[in-house]
Amino acid sequence: MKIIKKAILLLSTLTCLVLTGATLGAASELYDVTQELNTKSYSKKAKVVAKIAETGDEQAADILRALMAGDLFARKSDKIIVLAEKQPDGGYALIAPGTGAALGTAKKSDLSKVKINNRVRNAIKAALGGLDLNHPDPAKRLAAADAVFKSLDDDMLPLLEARLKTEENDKVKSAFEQTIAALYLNADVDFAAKVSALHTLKESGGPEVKSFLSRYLAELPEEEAELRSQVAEILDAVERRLSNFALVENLFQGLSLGSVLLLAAIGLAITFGVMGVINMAHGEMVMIGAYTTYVIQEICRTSFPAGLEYSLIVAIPAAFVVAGFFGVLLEKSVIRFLYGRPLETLLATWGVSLILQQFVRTIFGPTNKEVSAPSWLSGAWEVTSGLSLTYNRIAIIIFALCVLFALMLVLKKTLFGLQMRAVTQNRQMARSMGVESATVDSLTFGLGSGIAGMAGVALSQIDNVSPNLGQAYIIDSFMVVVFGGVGNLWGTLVGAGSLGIVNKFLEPYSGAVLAKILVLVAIILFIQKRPRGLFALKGRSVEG
Amino acid sequence: MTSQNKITEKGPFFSLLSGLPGGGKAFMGILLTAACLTLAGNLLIPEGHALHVPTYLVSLMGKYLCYALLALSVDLIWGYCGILSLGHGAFFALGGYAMGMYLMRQIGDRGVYGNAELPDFMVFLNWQELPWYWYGMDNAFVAAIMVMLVPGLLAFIFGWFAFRSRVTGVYFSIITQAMTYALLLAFFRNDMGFGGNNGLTDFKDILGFDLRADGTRAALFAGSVIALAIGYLICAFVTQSKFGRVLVAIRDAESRARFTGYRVEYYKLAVFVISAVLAGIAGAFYVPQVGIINPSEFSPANSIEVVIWVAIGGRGTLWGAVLGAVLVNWGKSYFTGAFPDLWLYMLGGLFVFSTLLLPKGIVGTAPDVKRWLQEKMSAGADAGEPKKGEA
Amino acid sequence: MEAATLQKRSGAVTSILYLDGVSVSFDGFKAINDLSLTVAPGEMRAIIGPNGAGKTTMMDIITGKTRPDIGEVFFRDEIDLTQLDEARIANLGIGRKFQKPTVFESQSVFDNLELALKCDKGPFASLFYKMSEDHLARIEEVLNIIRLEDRRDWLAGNLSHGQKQWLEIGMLLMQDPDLLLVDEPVAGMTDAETVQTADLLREIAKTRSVVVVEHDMEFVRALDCKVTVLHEGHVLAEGGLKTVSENPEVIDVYLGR
Repeated sequence: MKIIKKAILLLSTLTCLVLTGATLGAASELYDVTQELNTKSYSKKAKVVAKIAETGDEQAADILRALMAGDLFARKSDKIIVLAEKQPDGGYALIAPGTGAALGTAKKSDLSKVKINNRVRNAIKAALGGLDLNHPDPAKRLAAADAVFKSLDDDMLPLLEARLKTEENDKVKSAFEQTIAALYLNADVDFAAKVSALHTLKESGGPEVKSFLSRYLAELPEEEAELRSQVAEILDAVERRLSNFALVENLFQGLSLGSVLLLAAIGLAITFGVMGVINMAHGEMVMIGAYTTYVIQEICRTSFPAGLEYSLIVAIPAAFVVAGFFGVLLEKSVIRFLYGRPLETLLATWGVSLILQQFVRTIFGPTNKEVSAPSWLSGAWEVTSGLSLTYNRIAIIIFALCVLFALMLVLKKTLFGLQMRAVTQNRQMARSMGVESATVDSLTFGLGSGIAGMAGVALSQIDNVSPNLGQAYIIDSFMVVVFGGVGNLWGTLVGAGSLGIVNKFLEPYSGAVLAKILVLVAIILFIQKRPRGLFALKGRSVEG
Repeated sequence: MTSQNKITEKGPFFSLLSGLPGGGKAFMGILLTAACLTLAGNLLIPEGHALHVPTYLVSLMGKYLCYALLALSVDLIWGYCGILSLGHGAFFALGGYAMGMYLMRQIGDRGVYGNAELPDFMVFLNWQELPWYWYGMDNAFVAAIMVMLVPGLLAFIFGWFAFRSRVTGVYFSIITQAMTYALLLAFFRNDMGFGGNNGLTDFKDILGFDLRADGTRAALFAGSVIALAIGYLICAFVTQSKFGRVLVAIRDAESRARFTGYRVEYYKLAVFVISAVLAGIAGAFYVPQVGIINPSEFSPANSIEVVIWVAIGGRGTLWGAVLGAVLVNWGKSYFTGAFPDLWLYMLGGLFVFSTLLLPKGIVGTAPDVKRWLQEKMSAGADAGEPKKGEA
Repeated sequence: MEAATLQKRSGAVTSILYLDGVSVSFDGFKAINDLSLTVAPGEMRAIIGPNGAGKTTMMDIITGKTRPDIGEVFFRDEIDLTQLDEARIANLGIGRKFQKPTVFESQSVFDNLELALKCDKGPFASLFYKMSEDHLARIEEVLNIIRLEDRRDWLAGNLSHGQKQWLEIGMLLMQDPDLLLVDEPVAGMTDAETVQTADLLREIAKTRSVVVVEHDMEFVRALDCKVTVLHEGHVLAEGGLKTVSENPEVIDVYLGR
């Protein structure tokens, strides 16, 4: 509260400094009207409040808020109404309302507060609402319309209707229409008007309309059976629409979770597919990618602020390279010596994951690091009222699919991809055909880890960057691979998508934790039926 | 290439002790001697004396012994049958929870809320009555049965599904990890009725003896020693029977074992259940000595750590598993105290080191080193002879 | 197919192994295509064919490792093998030797034979198994047959390639099977070993049925038995080696000109 007060005063002081003299004439009208508050009658005060609002002055709202907050005083010596700001020494600095001119200081005993009661308060609220409806900022107008929709203050109806005619912003316009419709339902108008108002509400149909309608229906007297049935019908339609939106939103949430899993699991799937190696440090590659994003953001912040907005774009290739480098290093230093011993590889890479976690913890500290979202990724795409999809999650879905298809292209169209597939299918044969299987292994591992690094970039946008980041996703990624089957990217795609979606769909019914448990149990049961996953390769060669 | 080098004796080992191979006899000797010395040092030598063993140290060692039994259980399936379970911590924790429930009920009305029937956390959650699965847990005998039954049953169901459909190798490892992860999440929930995040703690006494008394602690330590000894004997019996040789056969050539006429899934299931029960017993002795059981015991990291104890000590050798568990945990206690930041590096390093450079573990490598030293010495002696002649 | 089953059931045909119209495919690739084959009790049969002809897959089907998509597989006329798993089939009396010698490498030769010994192979029986005089005698006998008496305490992993092949055959003998399936028993053997192996198999075939898959034509000749030629999962020709090797189709796809 204190800060707001200060800000208001500061603002008015500043404006007054700038506008001193030039706008004195215009401001003085507000000043004069404000002086009328110097009365004992509350009903008069309420009228004055309305008059203040009617001046249309930009500072009118500030004065009304000051009145609401009890910052408006009458100076005992000359009965002048002033704005007063408490000073550190206990005294008050006085400012003339409307003009902003400094009027010196006073002690508390010199001032008497302009008292208000609930009636005045309501008048202030309504006046403020009206003022905001006229505010040049569309967001303010939108908020004001929503406030009226909540308060259902029918005094606002004429103002709203007047504003609607000149309103150009579509969003604000529909908010006005929705509010007017709601007011109509409460107003003394004929049945047809109410029905048409109902249809307007059906059009916009957000969650607030649903709660309004159900409240309205409850309060509607039994006699108006026809209207009741109309309202019930519309409410039903709105509810259905909303539950469809909820479904879409769930699907969307599931898809974005699935995309993260996909990014994390692709790398795992190809290293497992090609080398039969379970890399327990894969999650740490994701984490390294996320920290790379953080480091690049910090570099941008300190030495290249203009590029801060686009540090994320730079981070994608950087994370690929850094994580890929660690992957190749891991392959060359540890995994290479453990081929044909998958269980040992699993243990060794787990050890590496502990070391990497502690390494990052040593450098960056154990606390979470924040990677801020660039402005072009913050906010949400409001598809329609009641349904909005956040940009960062949309971006993740698109990004994951791009990575997947890029990888498919690499596998299908490049020599490296051909060699990789050859090694996957028959290592001995590939080697005897002259494929440098050791090099292919290193590069495959680098590629898988690099993709994990890019997953880290995506994750930095929706999760905290911490040394444990990778651990949180690794088991789910394993489940994707187990479920989708090894060595088949389509399997990974389907696995990740269905895991993400099922998880999100179960959540509302069972809670997030139980949903996860159910999914794990389902997968454990699933691999009873298909021990090698959904898209497993069949045949003699794979059954060693 | 591990333990089965020199089998000449045939038949079952009903006379277990005499049938133990040299390493096993030595192990039993060392274990029992060390246990007696520790107990004597704790109970007979007065405090302040240089040889006095403080009670906290007794409990610490008791904890190591529980870990050792857990390591034995992992070694039984991994070392001998080649099944790498990354979820054995779950069986340990389940055994621990069963014990914890018993201890919780023993608190009676001495809890913060003074409710004779309900443990504190249930009162706190406004529960009105005991959930059905808590019935009977105030009875030590029932609790003891549950300590073995719950992990055994879970292992049976899980193993039955997994082995029947031939989930092997890393697939099995991953789903066991998922199993313990699922349990971790489940036990974190308050409405599971196991104390949620905080787990079960503030125990007062066991079988009517005060848990904080030196005597009780010493007895718990003795109990752990006996549990480990019996666990060791069971494992020794299993691994040295024909059953054990079938396990090794499955480890080395699973399909050959099948075509030889063994129902591999039954063997795996049997050894998995035995192993889970041993892990559960280890958990049950662990809980009263550390005074708490909470969901973090289910964390996948714990289970993997057990595997590395076995790997360091020497898998496929029973006393290697015990040695590894004690050594690594002693190291952990020391280093997390002295250099807390370095411990994870060391643990991670141990994983890499043991798999890359010490695949047979300490016990498996010792004979090689001995042979190498002998060769070196005899070569040195040979080289030394002529020189003497010259002089 | 009905008629064939009826005829078989009525006892008109007695076979140790009977395959009829068996097909199996992996991802669209037909590994076995309408294969029919009958092996009479006590018969020795050699199966030859180029790589990918489906020889190993056929063995997989007989031993329960792979289930056929369609077709019938009967053992001793009446036991439907498609319904059983590997262990059951092994205990019924079908022994299989793999292409690559597979023995329990970290156990001794003696233990390998003991593990293969025909007896109750359930977990409980194994846990409390005690070796009897009979069993010991049987192991000694087989050790003698496969000429590994002096290697009895060796680790199987330390044996030579040929010795491993024999040990595996020895393990089959321990199972006391009615039918032995032997996949390329002389691959990687010296000439002398090959001759000895042929002798060994002929000896075994006196009391049991044996199906041998082999590439080595010299060895097949030495076996001196009926030959079945497989090609693309199908029987191309059947008969004596001489007849078969003069068959123009066989020459075309396998023997070459």
